[in-house]
Amino acid sequence: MRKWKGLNKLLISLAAIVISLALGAILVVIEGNNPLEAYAILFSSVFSNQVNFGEAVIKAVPIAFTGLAVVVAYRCGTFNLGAEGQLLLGAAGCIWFATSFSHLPVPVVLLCCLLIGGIAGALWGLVPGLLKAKYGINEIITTILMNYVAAYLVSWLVNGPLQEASGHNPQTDAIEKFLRLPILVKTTRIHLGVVLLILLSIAIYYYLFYTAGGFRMRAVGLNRDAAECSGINIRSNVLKAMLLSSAIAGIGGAIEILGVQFRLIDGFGSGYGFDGVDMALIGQLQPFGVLFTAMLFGILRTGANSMQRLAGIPASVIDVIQALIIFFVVSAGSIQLIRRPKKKTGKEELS
Amino acid sequence: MTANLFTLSFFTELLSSGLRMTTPILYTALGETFSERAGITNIGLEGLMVVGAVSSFIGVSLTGSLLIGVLIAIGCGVLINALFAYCVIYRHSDQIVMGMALNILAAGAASFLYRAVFGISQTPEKVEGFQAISIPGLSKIPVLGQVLFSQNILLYLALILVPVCSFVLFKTPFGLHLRSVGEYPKAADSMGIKVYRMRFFGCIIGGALGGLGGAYLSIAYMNMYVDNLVSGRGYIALAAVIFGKWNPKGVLMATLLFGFTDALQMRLQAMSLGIPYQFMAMLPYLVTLAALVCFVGKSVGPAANTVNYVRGGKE
Repeated sequence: MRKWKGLNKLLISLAAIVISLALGAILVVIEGNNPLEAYAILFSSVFSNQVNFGEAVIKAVPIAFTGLAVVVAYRCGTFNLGAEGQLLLGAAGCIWFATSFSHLPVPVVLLCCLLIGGIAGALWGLVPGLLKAKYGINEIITTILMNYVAAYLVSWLVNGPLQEASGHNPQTDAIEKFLRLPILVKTTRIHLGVVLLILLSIAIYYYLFYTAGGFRMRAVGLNRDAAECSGINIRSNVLKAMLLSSAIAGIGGAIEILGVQFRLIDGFGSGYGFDGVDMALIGQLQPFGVLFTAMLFGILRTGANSMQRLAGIPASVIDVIQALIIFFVVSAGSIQLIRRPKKKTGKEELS
Repeated sequence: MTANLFTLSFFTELLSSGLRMTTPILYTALGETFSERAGITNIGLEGLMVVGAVSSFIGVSLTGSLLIGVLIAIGCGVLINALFAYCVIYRHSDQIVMGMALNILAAGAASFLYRAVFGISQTPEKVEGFQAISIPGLSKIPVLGQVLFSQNILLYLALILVPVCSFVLFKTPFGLHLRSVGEYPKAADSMGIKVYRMRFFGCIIGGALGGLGGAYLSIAYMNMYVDNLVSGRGYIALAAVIFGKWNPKGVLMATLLFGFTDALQMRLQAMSLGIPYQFMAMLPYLVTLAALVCFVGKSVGPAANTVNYVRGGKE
């Protein structure tokens, strides 16, 4: 049963991607271009060029982190739409530590940066988490409102207390060269954070599906009432999920700073939170599904930039395609593309 | 500096611009009241407003007619929400997830559409938007005249809609049926009320008013369209429905709170009081958060809100 369901979900996601790319082709035609040529440029530019492929990986990392964050919360029946704010706070915490304590030994600084990034993110998620767990306030609204507050807070930080020493631009100083995450593949910008991301998603997978704590969390997400009847504390699990989720987003922010950005700029992180929701839903709420989806979008977006440059097709086509994919995945939630072999159950199908 | 804080003209300006900031949220929140009263929570209000804003802006700048702009916004809002309603009511998709998808779809489609029509340029296009109409006689009343009777027609319409919505919801058979499918759909069904159809109507009204709320921003307030024009007003409207206790008059009060906070923070920013502007800009969102905490537990929504109804299914 489970196996069939899983396969069905995988097929839904794949079908949604294919259909959306086909619809995207229609947009390209309307724009007056040859869609086959456009897609050929899109994919070949990524796969025939090491630098571009590296860029695709780099683009996938932050949205994979926010995607994982959304998955963890969602599995506990909580919708964390505030991954963007949490990621921002994580990035801010990281840059503060990295620029203020760069004289400490490198491994210590890096470890503390990740830790502080996680804590800063978790603190930002604590507010909606507490409001939800204690008062039952809709976390969808609160997490989104917290995003706006975070964006303004960071805007103030990079224009005020954390602004670069020269004071020209709304950005912080860059972190020291020796504090940047090592590059894994020469000529690309693929950094150690990719490995950390993969390790983290394995850890999340293990926690969610092979530990008692993860089971309790999922039980709350699957059926609150049943979980409560079995003696599972709903509130503490919701709070735990929210903290874990926002810490993941915060760590993602820290890694993005240490691996790619090296400094915090006003306006950083915009869109990462909702991208995370997309990654989680298209990835069918599976940690590894999120990784694959994020990689796919890394490729699509990198390729779309080449497409815009070489064929003059606006890269925002990809935004529409992304929206269509999510739309199909969500609306197909009740459709079964394949049916498991029928067993007589005598139960009438609900209309 | 503090002296001119308390002049009469300051208050007049504050009140009249507060009303203008209230209007888009009011439209959207009134629409959502119908939708939620029928049992459908639409998280996609933000997307709905974005669609209304971009479509009306394109309509006005291509045809030059404000009326066509408004009609296009309403039409697009209805269309988008009909799609949402179909998936949620007839296909039983998850309301929250579907609403989120709507937000994302709207944002992507809006920025693509805008670029497809106007190309990529540095200076945003502008249109001739709705002008203020001074109501003869009444607009001469000091303070009140400028605040209430020298505004644009969309603002008047929003204020008139409040009692109208109240009447429709609470004094007509349609309103009764609408509320019944949001409270206890099974009972409504057994009374012969078409649950799916009533919920669909709720969504349609929500779509029309949400589109109008977006249109207000682009063709009556800013007279242009930029990518983050709506900037969270859809979510604030969602919160306003909760504080407003799913009641048009309450919704008016709730949206006024946000409208005035927004107007106040903009005035404080302009006064350069030495407080970084970012903290002022946070105010509307913080007030929304605070209001959510204060009103929690005191407002109880329709019992079957956000719960999908499957005809002939189990509870």
